[in-house]
Amino acid sequence: MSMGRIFVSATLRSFFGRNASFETDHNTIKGMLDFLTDEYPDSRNILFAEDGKLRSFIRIYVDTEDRTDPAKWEETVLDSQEVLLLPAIAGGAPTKSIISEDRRKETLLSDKEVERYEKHLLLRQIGVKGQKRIKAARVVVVGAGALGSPVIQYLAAAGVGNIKVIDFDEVSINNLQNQVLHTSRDLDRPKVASARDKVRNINRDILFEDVNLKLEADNIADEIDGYDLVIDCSDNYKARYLVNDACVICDIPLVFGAIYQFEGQVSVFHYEDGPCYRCLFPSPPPAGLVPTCAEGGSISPLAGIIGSIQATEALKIIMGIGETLSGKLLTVDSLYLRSKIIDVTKNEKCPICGEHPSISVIQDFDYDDFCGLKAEGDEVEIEGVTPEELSERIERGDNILIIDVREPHERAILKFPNAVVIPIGQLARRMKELDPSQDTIFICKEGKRSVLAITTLREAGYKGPLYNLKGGMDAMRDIIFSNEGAWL
Amino acid sequence: MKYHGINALKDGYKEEGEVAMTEVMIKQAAIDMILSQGEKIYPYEGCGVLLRRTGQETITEVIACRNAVADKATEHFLIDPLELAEIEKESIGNEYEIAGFYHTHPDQKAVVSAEDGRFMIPGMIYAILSVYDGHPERLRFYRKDDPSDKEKETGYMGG
Repeated sequence: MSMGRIFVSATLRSFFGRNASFETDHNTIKGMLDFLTDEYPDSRNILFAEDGKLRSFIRIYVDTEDRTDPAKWEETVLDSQEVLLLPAIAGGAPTKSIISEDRRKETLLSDKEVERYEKHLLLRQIGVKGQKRIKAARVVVVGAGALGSPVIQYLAAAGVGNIKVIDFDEVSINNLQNQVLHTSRDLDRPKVASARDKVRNINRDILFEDVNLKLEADNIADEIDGYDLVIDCSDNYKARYLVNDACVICDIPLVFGAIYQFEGQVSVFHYEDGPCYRCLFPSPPPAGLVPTCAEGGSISPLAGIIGSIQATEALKIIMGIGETLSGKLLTVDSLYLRSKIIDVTKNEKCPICGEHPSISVIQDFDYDDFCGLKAEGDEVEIEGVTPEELSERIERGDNILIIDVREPHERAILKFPNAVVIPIGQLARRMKELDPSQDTIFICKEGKRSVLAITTLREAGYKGPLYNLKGGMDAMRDIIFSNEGAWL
Repeated sequence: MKYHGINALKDGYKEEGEVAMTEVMIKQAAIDMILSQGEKIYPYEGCGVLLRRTGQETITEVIACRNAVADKATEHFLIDPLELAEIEKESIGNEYEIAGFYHTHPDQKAVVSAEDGRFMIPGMIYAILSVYDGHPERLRFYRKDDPSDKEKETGYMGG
């Protein structure tokens, strides 16, 4: 009969009846731990966290070899060996503010500001020091849309001294459903101009910079370099990778947020040696497979929830208080109101923040290609028709087949009456419904998923003529048919 | 009875009666050793073990340990578990027992960081010393009763 010997550190003995050592008839760590937790049921809570993982402060050695990793718990322990149950006594410095002590000390609060920010000053974790850090902070918000709306307004209300907002878009009527920064009076105005007005109404003391610009690899570094923090409120993958890479290269922490339909995500990247967006998502989903937010839609207040969490994370990072979402991803499902936080670990092989990064300049990377956004027809021969050409052919009564690959809820908004509905996933299977002697035209919302549909059919071996409606239904909206009403 | 204040305690301690704190008893000689270690090892984090005579309450000695963190030792500390086992088996004997641990925070407040909290053994006393520009500033004591709880600060008395 083998005898497994266990030594328990004095620091842990109170949980094991004050015994310094045990002799068991188990010869694996697993068996010994089961024995100990059976003998001393209260010790289970000491050794293991609620999720079943061994607690951080426990280390298990066999003689001088560290076998804390549960993968090694089934290995046989020899009679001559001793299992040591030891504590890891460790820790780290508390979170530092990204605003230096010098900058904080240079910043003064006026009597008016003391009154305005009273509710911050009353909080022990914020106080005058924290409010000064907020005032000294220089923050870039990428995107003045759904997420940008709460982020910009809360940063302004909280007293962030310098806010720069970058967006190239103008306010359109369908933005007003969840972009609460803009109102009916702002239609067709640049979003950054609308943002400027709102911020001025909230707080005139803020240095507000509006940049009406589409961020690209060759201009992003100039826009964010020298700022303390970037908040990603963009709505597409290209921008997310671009902003992430620029933040890593310019060494600026990034607060990430995204919404899609009923679900939102928040995380903090490139902060205190934490992971970056590429560690979490090494590559974007295939183009067209996941519609962008502009295509996919989202419930109105979701942007408010996610954006408000982003703004809170930003303020915590500015002040160096609490615990941030660095190394964690928060997901919120607003339809069933469930949220969870999953761990995100830094990828040592990450092409941009890993040990041997392959990306060192933002320009070197082809984001359009990476995100599958190369102009249509670049690689595969995909012929397109413009909305005008399509409407002419319909008016003429040409023998054409129109296939709508949009989701049911999208079709409910705007039907294309004479179109055949085939979801992308069923295309290859339902290829027989297509007539190779007939021109077939694919439509979706923005003209991207329809490209995917054509590529799918070509890969499945379909030889007939296929066309893509350029710009999708969005571009079709302005077309008026002679018998208007019968069509759109 | 007043909370013991060392000269380095800048903003002083909570007034008596404000919060009912469990008090830690510690000898001035032990405090002095922590302060001098924190000063000497700055800008790195120093760490060690708090000892008391078996069955007694007052912490009377400390044993300085090597900070086993290879890089980033200005922001992290680790006592090698085997070194600690060695100290337990060889140096301490039956006369003393481990009351807890201490470590220093160079240019940082003497508060429990999130990482510190995860590594706290329930029931043990954890002392944290802030050292600014090489000068010890404040020594604070903390304890956790349950691994899932948040740590509580505990006052201390010198003796």
